[in-house]
Formats: sequence, structure tokens, C-alpha cells
Amino acid sequence: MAYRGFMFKKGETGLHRLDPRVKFLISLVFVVCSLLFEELVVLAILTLAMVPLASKGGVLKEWLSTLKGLAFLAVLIFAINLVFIFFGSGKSWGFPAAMALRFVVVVSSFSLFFLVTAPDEFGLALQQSRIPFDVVFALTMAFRFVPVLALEVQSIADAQRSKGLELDSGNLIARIKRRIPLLIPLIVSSVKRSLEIAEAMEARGYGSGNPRTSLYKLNFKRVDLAVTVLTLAMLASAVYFRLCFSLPVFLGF
Amino acid sequence: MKTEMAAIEIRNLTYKYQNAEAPVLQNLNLTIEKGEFALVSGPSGCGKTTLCRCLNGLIPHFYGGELEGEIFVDGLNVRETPPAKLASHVGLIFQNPENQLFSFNVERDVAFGLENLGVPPEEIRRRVDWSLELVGISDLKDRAPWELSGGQQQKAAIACVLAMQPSIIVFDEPTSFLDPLTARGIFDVIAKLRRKLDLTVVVVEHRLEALAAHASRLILMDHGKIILNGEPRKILAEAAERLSLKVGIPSVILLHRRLSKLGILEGLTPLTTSEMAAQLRGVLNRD
Amino acid sequence: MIRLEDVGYVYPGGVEALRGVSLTIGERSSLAIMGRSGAGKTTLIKHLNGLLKPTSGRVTVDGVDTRKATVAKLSRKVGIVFQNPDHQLFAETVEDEVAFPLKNFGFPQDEIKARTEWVLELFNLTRYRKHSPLTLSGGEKKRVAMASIVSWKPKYLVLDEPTLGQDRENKLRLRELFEEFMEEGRTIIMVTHDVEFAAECGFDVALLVDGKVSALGSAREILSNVELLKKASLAAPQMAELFLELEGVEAQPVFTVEEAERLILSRLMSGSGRP
Repeated sequence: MAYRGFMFKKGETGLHRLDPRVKFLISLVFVVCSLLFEELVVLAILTLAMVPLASKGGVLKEWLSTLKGLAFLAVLIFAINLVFIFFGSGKSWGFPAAMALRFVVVVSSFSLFFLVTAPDEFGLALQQSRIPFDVVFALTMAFRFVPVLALEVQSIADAQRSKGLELDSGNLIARIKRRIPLLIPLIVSSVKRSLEIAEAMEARGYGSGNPRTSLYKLNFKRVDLAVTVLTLAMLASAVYFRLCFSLPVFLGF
Repeated sequence: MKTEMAAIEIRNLTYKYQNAEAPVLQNLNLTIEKGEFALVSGPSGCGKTTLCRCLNGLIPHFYGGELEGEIFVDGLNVRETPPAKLASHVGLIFQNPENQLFSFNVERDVAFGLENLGVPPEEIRRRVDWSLELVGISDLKDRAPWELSGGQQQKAAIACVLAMQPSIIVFDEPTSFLDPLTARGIFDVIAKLRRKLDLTVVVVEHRLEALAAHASRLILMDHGKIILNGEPRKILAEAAERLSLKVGIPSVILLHRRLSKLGILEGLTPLTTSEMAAQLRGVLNRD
Repeated sequence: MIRLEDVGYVYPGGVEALRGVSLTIGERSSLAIMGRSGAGKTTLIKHLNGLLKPTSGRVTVDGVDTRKATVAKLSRKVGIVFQNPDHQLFAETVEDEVAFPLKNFGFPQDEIKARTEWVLELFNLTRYRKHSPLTLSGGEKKRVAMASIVSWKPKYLVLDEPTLGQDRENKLRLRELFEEFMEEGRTIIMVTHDVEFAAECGFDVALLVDGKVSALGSAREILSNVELLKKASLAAPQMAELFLELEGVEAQPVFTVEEAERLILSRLMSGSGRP
């Protein structure tokens, strides 16, 4: 399922141990770089540069499945851009391709981030950046319960299909109508679940009014500092490159 | 404003949920002394869960509705005390273990309540380790909730509540999602905690045969009222007589009843197979 | 007849839930599938109407390979009542809820009406026919869920934990329903932890341990074997435990209070307490 490419996978690699803020920075730099360049080769290099990272983090398989999942959307973006730009302006077909690849870089870099960052560590990082706990908690809870909800959808579909409901036949309207027997139980069980969760939170002193403390504290290690410096240096050189050189034409197709 | 009173004291409690037509609890009176082990049972829809919610302040603070009468828990007036404050006096364990664990590892979840109360980190660390140890799941502290079995999840939920060091713990059908032997494991934990910590324990449960022998008191509810309340042996004997279709009366008690009626057995109502076996041996081996 | 031939199933995530299950479920039979949570019970029943197709091996329903038929087609014969009624109730009224599968299966209008009435009566739900299923209590919801499947009279009725949260009275009613169904030549398969109920109904028992059938036989045979029960995380019925304590491992298997009473009386009559 699509969300798997964004679900944290436990591990003991260097990438896992890195401070979540540093990992976020790395992903962000990938995104910024992809926005700086529209040359296909650079975007391809950016994508490929993630391969050793994913492999070091032990999540190559999951990351590749994200890429696979993105393929359809990437083709769609390519097609739309092709129609509107290529035929419109007579620009090279390389541009639509670059747009599609840029999309791949942005999404897959976040996929990589979430694959090697435990959501509660991410939450902790946000919390220490003074984002209100309620917001952070809501966010980490979403991560916690996405797989649970996915399982729930599966159970509901199983139950309804066992009563003769055929989901994949007929025209679009008929198909949408046939989703109602899935939708209502899903809403009902989700409401019930959130009520139960809220009860359990309440019973454990949530919203006590006392200033909240935290068992853990993120500490920025020397290696985190080194990686940060390295990442920022790479960003700086990318910016420098962009501003001071125009890439040879053949690189940009 | 804490006064010397019973662990739980409920006077003339009537409660109606918001938008409900009829009250779920009707004129309920109940006193549970400190250190008691109260077992609550009754058919589904009898108001057991609602009663649990009244004990830790979810009713009326979370659910609203109309509450009449008085509820005192650990000397605190529930109506006037917010649930967050009640949390370190009375803990509540729910049916579904999955929905009580919000984090990505057990340790974080156990810390959650203490963090909410603003307990200093060193103290949190101490209490988290202590409660995990007591429940016997120290080795699971780094596991994610979905990597645990239902029984382990429920133990983790117990540790979460225990860390807040309440003097009363209420369990609302803690084993209804678990298989029978796993359920026994949970009951063992409950019995051990009570022994070690001198807790007051209230357990809502259908599986009377596994718990009746531990309980100091059995409370049977139906239609929002307490219909029987007292020493388990006495209550079960009475319930076997007129409630056997609604309440899961342990088979040994039903058998004892039948044999007593035939004049074969004369002893006390048994709570365990061992007690029953002892009585039967007496009869069968008499020459 | 439903046949499972060396069925293995691996979930997409890589979890191996079934490892070589072979089982034949004949017509007019009754089978309880028991085992600890995670042993593969629910995975197994999802194979019976083709919701899951075996990764290895083969499942056939009356000779039809489940790989070669749609779930809708197989469900007509194999009706599964899942554990959580919240996962299937969606209609505005109880009546519509029960009629939903009948419409899916293309029953004629008057037949739908007749069957709805029949099944609501059977499950003691007639007075709720115009109510929303969502307003009912847990036990009632479970009955609606069951009624909606019994409505099309599947040849094989499969139930996942039907006694969970049901009181004695409802269990007795369920047992009567099972008997009625079997008299009509249907087959009942249930997943349960309720040892006493399985024994009382006299079902055959298939004990599932780690995705394999570790024992198969009559309820008496299987459920009196303490070692087997432990492996499946089941507790022996209290009467069985009592006689185990009284007479040791050679004790006769005793499950119900009635049996226990009879046995004790016969011991007393024969004048000797010792077996």
C-alpha cells in the first residue's frame, strides 16, 4: 500500500541515529536543489544520490517501492506538462520530463526521511522547536494510526464483499455508490476509535494544565553537527553553481 | 479537602448521557473500602462501563450529560475534580488495548501520563522503570505497540496507569479482546499488584470463574442498578438461583447447587475447582 | 464439501499465516476452529469464500477452485459473519441492512421481503426493523450482522467468535439456530475461544497452532487433552478441570454440569467413589 513508503522502519543504522532535525535538513536540501535546477541530468543525479542513503539506512526496498508508486503520477505530470507546454510553446520535451522528475525527487526525499525517522522522534524535534504539543501530538498520532486504519478498511471491505458487494464493476457512478457500504462503517469505527483514544488520553492526565515535561531530550551530537555542515556546504555550492554558471546546453538537453 | 472516607463512595447516583432518553444508572449507592477487590458483572448494557467512567471523572467532565448524586473517589469529589487531577488517584484500564497506546514504543507511552502532569524527567525515568518491572514487561520497553500481542499490549496499558501511582485502579473488561489463557495472565498481574501495592481494585469482568476467588466483593448490575452486592460466595449462590441466564455463573457453582438440592453436598458454595473437589472427595470416598 | 489442500498463505508484508493446512469440511458437519490469537484462524476462514487466495496449495468449494471464482459467487454458498459488527452495518434501518445482501445476490423483490421478515423474526429483531442499526446495543448489532448473512441461507455458515459478549440466554438461542441449520443439511464452521460452547454444541474441533492444524477430532477428544489446550492458549472447561483434579489424568472427559452431575450420581449409586 502507498503509505508504506512513508512508514518508519526500525533500524540501528547511522542514518537512524542522526538527529531528526538533521535528517529533515537533508531532505529539505534535496527539495531545494530540485527546485533550483531544471536540467534533467542534475535531477537524475539528485534521485540517484538518494540510493546510497536509502541503502545505508536499510530501507532501499521500501524507498524503491515509493518510486514505483510514484511512477503513475510522474507519467501523469509529464503528460499534462507535455500537452500544455511542449505543444503550447515549442519548448523542449525535456522540460515536462524535468517537472516529472522534480516531483519524484521531492516526494521520494520525504519518503526517505519518514522511512528512517521515528515519528515520535520527529514529534520531539518539532516540540523542541516550540511547536505546541497539541499540534505535534495530533501529527504523530496520525502516523501511529494510519496502518491501523488501513487494516480497518481491509476488514470492512472483506465483510461487505462477503455479502455479495462487488466493488469493481459497472460505471464510475455505480462504483462510487458502491463505496457507501465501506465508507459508513469506516466513519463509524473511526469515530468510535477516536473517542476511545480521547478517553484514554484524558484518563492519563492529558490537558492537566501543568507545564508539560518530557522524558527524552534530543541532543545534538558531534556527528550531527558534521553532517549539518556538510549538507549546508552542498546546498551553498548548488546555489553558487546555479547563479554563476549556466550549464552547458547538452547537459540540459 | 481530602477527608477520611472509603476509597469509593457513591450516593444516589443517577446519570443520563447527553441526548439519551433514559438514564443509564439509576439511584446507585455503593461504598468500596480501601484495599478491597471488587468484582463487577452483569449483562451487556447494564451500566458497568458507565460506572467505570464515573469513577475517574470521564463522567461528567468528558461526557457531559446529567449527573445527580455524589461520587467520592479517594476522598475527592469527582464532580468538582478534573480528570487530569483524578488521574494520580484513580487509574482506568479500558477494554481495547490498542486504543490506549499512542506512541511508537512502550516506554514513551508509559511516560505519557507523567509528562502530562509535568513530573520532572528523572522522576519519570524512575517511575517508568518501576512500573514496567512490576508488570513484568521491562524487556518490551523499546517495542512498538503493533509488535506486541494483545496480552502484552494490555500489560503495557496497565504499566501506563501504574506509573501515575494511583491508589485505586479500575479495569473495564480488560480481557474481552484476549484469549482465555492470556486473560489469566492479566488476572495474575492484577492480583499481584493488589498484593504488593495494597491497591483498591475494581474489575468489571464476565469471566467470574477466574476471578471470583480473588475478589473480596461481588457486585452484580442489571438495568443501571446494583441488584446484588456482597461476599462473592453468597452472591454467586443467590445469582445461580435466579440470574443464571444473564450472568455467567461458574459451572462449579451450578453443579454444587444441583448436588446440594439433592442433599448430596452440604458445604459452602465453592469458588474454585479445588474447593469443589475437596467437597466431592468427602462425599465420594465416604463408605 | 470444502477442501483445503496443503494451503499456505503469506501476507504481502511477509508474515506467514498458514503453513500447509489440509482440511476437509463435509456437508452437514460442524467444525470449530480454535487456537490462540494470531494462530491464523481468521486468515483461514477468509480462504473459504475466496477473500484470500492461497499462496500455495488449493481451496475448493463443492469442487470449484476459489482462484477461479469471484468472492460474490462463492459467498452465495459460503456466508461469513465477521467478528466486529461495526465493520459491516451501514444501512438506514435494520430491515435495509438485512435486505442488502439479498439485493446484491439478485433475489426477486417478494422473496427479499419474505426472507427479511423471516430472518428478523428468527433473530428476535422484528421490533427494531425500522431502527438504525447504529443505535442498537453491541449484542443486538451482532445479531443484525448474523441475520443479514443467514438471510440468504448459505450452504456453509461461517462465524468468527459468535459468542463474544453474548450472555447465556443468547448462547442457548445460537445453539438452537445451529441445530436448526444443520437439520436443513447445512454446515456450520465457527472460530471460537469458547471451549464450553464448542463442547456443548458437539462440534468437531480443528486446533490451529502457528498456522498449522495441530489436532483434529471430536470436541471430547481434543478439548479434554490438557496439553493440546495449553498449546492453543485455551482453558479447559471448569468441569473438565474439576474431574482432572478429582481423578487425575485418567479422568473421563466431562464438559457440562449435567454430565458432571450424572457421573457423580452414578459413582454414588455404584457404591464406590473411586473410579
